[in-house]
Amino acid sequence: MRCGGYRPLSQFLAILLIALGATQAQADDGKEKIHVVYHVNSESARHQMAALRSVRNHLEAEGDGIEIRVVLQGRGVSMLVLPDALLHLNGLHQANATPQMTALVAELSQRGVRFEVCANSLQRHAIDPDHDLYTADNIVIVPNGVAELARLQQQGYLYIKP
Amino acid sequence: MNRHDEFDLNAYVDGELTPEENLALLGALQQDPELAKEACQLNNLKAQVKLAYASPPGLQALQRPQRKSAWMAVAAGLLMAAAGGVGGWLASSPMAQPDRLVVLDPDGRGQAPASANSEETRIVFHLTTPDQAAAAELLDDVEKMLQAYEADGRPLRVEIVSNGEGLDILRERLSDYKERIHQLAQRYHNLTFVACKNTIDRLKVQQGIEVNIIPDAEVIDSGVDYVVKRQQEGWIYIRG
Repeated sequence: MRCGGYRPLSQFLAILLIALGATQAQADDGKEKIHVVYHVNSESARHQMAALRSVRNHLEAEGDGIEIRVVLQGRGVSMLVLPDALLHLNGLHQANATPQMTALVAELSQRGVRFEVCANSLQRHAIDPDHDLYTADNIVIVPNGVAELARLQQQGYLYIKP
Repeated sequence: MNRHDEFDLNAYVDGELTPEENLALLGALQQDPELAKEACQLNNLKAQVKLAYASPPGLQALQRPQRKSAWMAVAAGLLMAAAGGVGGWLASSPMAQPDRLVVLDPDGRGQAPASANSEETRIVFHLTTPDQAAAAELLDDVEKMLQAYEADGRPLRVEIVSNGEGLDILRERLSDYKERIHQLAQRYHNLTFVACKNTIDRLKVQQGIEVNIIPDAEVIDSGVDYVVKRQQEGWIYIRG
């Protein structure tokens, strides 16, 4: 993979954001932020990884001027399920919290991205939130991922489904 | 597999490849359905970002400029005027309710807070992938939401729009969840299943398939036009 491999999309975002910067992309100095929610419901590690890289690109394009949440709903919760849990999961075939995935999650969470995990989905797949999930700051469990997506949009979050 | 990396894909989606590179990548897309799917997803993402930034987000209208560190302050429990996510930029539309209030939860927990008046929450779900199991999980969460709103006496309207490969779940012969959809449609009158006629026509013309849609679904002309229209009307959009 070439260095800086995501430049085109970042640039694309950066241009958009600069264009809008005057009116809405404002940082901590008392200005407004853009709020964005990413929806992940794919079980595929590859798709999840690509989604997280989009989040990172977005973050890098926008810096302090953005607040991002990632809602893991349906089988998207597999992003944070530890591989050891695979033995007892119900209807979930992937446990994607590999070192590669968790490194990216940890990086993003440290940079302020908040991960919201759907409790309905955990229950449906017999995932024990205390033992089967990767934990870090900024990873929280919400009762209903779909309702959370609706709630955030009602608050003005932009919705992106990678 | 000799994979093209994401640089190439991004460049392709952004239209930044030379004609030769473009040709080579198009060839690769034809050979590799996975790659083609990825390109499609990237394209989709780009379109969404464009759409998102083309419309000034609700927050801009909601937050008052003099409020420093507005987000934290607001999250700490202040009430703020909220016309609903996309509502803010619809101020000129008859749907807009600029006086609506939303209580923000500092932890992001808890569900769709009560609005100050009894305005209906309206959500359009857009199913476009053939993954019926994933759609069914979405239906589970939707049902819980319908239950919760009903229990609290809060008005909610939900439409589930299927087009493209997402139509399968509404097709008489292909749906794995006919019974479940029937039960939900019977039980919740504020829930509507909607099928795209463009897709039905395309299947007939291109593949000679006579599509039968389950009786619980309504048929509209274009699924994509429909969900765009709903968003313009202030509906919340969630893709399955």
